[in-house]
Amino acid sequence: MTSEGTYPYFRGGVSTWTHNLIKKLPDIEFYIVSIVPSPFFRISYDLPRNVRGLVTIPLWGEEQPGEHFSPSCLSVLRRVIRTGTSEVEEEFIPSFKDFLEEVLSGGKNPRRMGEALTAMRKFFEDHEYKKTFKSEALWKLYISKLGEDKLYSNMEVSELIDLARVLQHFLRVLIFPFPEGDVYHSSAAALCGVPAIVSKVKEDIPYLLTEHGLYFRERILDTVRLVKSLPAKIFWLNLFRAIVLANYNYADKISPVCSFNVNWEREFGIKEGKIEVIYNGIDVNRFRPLNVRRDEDVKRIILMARVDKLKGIIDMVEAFSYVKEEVRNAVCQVFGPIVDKEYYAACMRKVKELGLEDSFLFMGPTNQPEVEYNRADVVALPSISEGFPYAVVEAMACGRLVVATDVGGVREALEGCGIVVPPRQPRELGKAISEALLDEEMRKELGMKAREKAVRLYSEERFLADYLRSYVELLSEKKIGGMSK
Amino acid sequence: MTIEILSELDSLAMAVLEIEEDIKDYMQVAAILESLGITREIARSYGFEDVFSLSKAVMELIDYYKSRQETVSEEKRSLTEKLKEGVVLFLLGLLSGSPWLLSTISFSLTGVSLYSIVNADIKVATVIGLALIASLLATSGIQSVFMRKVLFYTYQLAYGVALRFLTLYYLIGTSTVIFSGILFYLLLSPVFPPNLTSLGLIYFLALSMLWLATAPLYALKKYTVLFLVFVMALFVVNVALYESSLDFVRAHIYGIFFGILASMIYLFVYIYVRFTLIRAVSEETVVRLPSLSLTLLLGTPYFIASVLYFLLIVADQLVVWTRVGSPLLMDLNYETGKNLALLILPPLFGLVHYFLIKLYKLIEEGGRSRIRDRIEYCRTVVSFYKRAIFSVIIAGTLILLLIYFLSLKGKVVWKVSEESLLVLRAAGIGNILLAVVLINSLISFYLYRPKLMLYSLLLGLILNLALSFLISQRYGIYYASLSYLLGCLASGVVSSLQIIRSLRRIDYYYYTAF
Repeated sequence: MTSEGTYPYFRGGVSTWTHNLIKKLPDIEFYIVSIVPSPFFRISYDLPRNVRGLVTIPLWGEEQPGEHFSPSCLSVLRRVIRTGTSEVEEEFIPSFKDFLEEVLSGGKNPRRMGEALTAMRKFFEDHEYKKTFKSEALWKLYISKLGEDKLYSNMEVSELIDLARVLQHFLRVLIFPFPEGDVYHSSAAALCGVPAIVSKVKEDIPYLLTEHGLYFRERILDTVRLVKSLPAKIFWLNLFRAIVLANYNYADKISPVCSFNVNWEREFGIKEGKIEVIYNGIDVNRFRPLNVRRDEDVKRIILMARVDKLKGIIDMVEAFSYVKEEVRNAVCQVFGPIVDKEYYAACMRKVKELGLEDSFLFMGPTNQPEVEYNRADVVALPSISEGFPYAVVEAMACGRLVVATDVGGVREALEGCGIVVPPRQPRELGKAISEALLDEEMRKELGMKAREKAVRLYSEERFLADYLRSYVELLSEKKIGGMSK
Repeated sequence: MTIEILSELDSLAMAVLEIEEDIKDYMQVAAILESLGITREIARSYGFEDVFSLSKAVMELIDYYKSRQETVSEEKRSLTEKLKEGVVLFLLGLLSGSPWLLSTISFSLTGVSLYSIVNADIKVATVIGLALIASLLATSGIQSVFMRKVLFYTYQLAYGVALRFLTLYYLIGTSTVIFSGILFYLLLSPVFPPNLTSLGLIYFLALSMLWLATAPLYALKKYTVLFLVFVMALFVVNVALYESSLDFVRAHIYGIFFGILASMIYLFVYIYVRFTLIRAVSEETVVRLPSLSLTLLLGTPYFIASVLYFLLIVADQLVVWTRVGSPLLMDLNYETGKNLALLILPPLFGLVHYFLIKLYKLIEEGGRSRIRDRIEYCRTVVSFYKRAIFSVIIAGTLILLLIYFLSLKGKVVWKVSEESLLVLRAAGIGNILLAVVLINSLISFYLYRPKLMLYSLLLGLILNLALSFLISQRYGIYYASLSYLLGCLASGVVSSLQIIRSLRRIDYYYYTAF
């Protein structure tokens, strides 16, 4: 199981999905490959017993790649000695050139990308990483490839240096040990798919790809915020596109968590037969209507979300101010960790500005989400980007009415049993929540339908059975393929 | 397509451009439209099959708007702002040289510094001088190995790791000092009487710990704190000596001990507070140290460069001491000349700091040139570097002339003999060139290329040692200062050529600075 910025270091939807899948399939042994920003993160989950190993790949935070995990001074020295200019020029540069050309073209030939990654990994089995990337031949290749392109030659030198350095960090994924598995399962069509791609090229190990959010779509939104110049933006988008396409190409099966993702996958030219939607599954016995103590004098809206820009909390603050105009006794509680401190501060400023200090409350994370859902009159989700959010499915299973923005797979989940409004439109959101709070009949009716739909489509049993079947299918296909050879 | 739909598409194109000016393809448009709430149903209501088809149509409109990009002119800074920035950078650099500057000032005004006292017995002064040199050599290498790591983790906000590294540095540093202390004692005891050997050991241990304790202040650029620590330490020495009538050894030890304590407390509090703050907002932060053997391996070139640098500074003095008396004896005239020449360095540190910060900024931000214009970018950097070197040499010469003039007129507290003036002239020019070597060393460290300096420092050291040996034998000890000058000259010229060669390809060298 490979992941990026999620399991087992960070909490969130993808981590919950990974943890549940591993824990509830105790007969399958898992090795985890986790790409993290730096080596300074604490494991946030008790790893299930069937986890046989964890490979942590920090992309940043290390002067010498791997220095926090495989500390052998002698092996580094040996590699440094073996890495001469001629070795780099003859054995590494050709595959790096293929890789770079694929990146610049946005992944026109994903097979070539896969082969280049595999060749580079092979090179690093005996050679030193930093010395290779510091080679002058490599820099000349960058300069010539980007300099000869009409668009990229407009890039600033400082941007080129940044990009080259970031590529050097990204490709660190190639020097860490990849576990020997029977099936590789990546939780995103991202860098974490590289071990799966390399294993596929090298040993034809089956590759299952699950897409939660859409990696390429999310990166597009990131570049909007983070990258300033056009050539650099295009470079980034092409890099991500090349990575995504290589993943799609080498994956034997793609399992998006909702049909919304399929539109994008199809747009990338993926054949229908390769795609099978497997919805997130939850424990419908844990998440069910409960008799919990409730304060009948207040109408409670809850959000189960981390405090982060993508979750649209500021929109919710504004929406709640409209709700308060209609429903005086309404309170809104946000359950989740603060991951973006600046954003949290902005939310608090908005709360203060609108005079909602007593009724819009940040509660922090909760260990009993099922209880909080049951205490709620309405569960809201004001996100501006989502995959197939657990919060929605869990609230549905608890028989609550969900009012959410129309992003990702939310509409699919709430079709016929919840309310969707356009994202980034607080007035619309507030209006829908007010109506729901004032109409108990509607809440009850839609809540019942939601519970029924959750049990039918989003149960853990079905989710586990689907993945188990996928693993078995991939393994048997490989064996049949092997026999026929 | 109706006029209404065209107008809607136009609004969508404007909305997309508002979020992202640089749109390259329709998938970018699709991602932004979806984040704006445009769904397949809405796309269909406009007569498109899905969001992607709609995006392609919006893209066509965006292509039109893209040509209307405005360029924003860079805000020009006023002369006052530039001057203010220059003065601040200069003062910070000056403060970084405060240990030498303050010691010299204190010695001139009150006759006592942190490790010397006016009219001290020459044998005592020799032993203390040896302890000073040995302490610098024993600690300089280890400082550079560990401080680069403390800095690396501090910049990454990994304060827990930085704190652990700082503790490790103090532990390994203290062990090294104890080990070197034993070695120092064993070397001194056969040739000096026991009381002098013990005195030397006390000064060696105290000064080594002071350099260890204050090195992180340099690394973290806490120059004002460094300045205050030395001001207070010197204050303690003066009070202990003149107000409490303690003997000078105790006064020195109290002052040094105060400096050690103040630095360590400040550093632990500084990093610990940040660590606690980071941990408060990020539960995930965990302290994990890299392999020690790798840390030492990566730090070895920095270690060698730092030790060579200090050896270059003191090699001629050691040779002179062997000539004056058996086994070693200081010559006051030579020391006076060399100490006066040291006064050139603090103001030059100010200039060096100013130019280096500007150069780094130019390298980092000046890379605004396009790829095809990178040769011009490299030329700009080289020409700035040359200007910096030229300015340092000119400024150094003017300061040297001033010090020389004041010494000639008897305006400095010390008695300056003809011999001292001879040493001052040569060592003064040597120190101007040493500032050049310092600039080059810092640039090479900045570029993660300490090896650039190794040959030039080694050459300078060998020249200084060999020539001072030969010259002092043939022309007398005071001419050994010429070998210092020649050593610094060789080191300065060779390292400058190396640095210029690197700066000519600064795009490549800056890329590899990781």
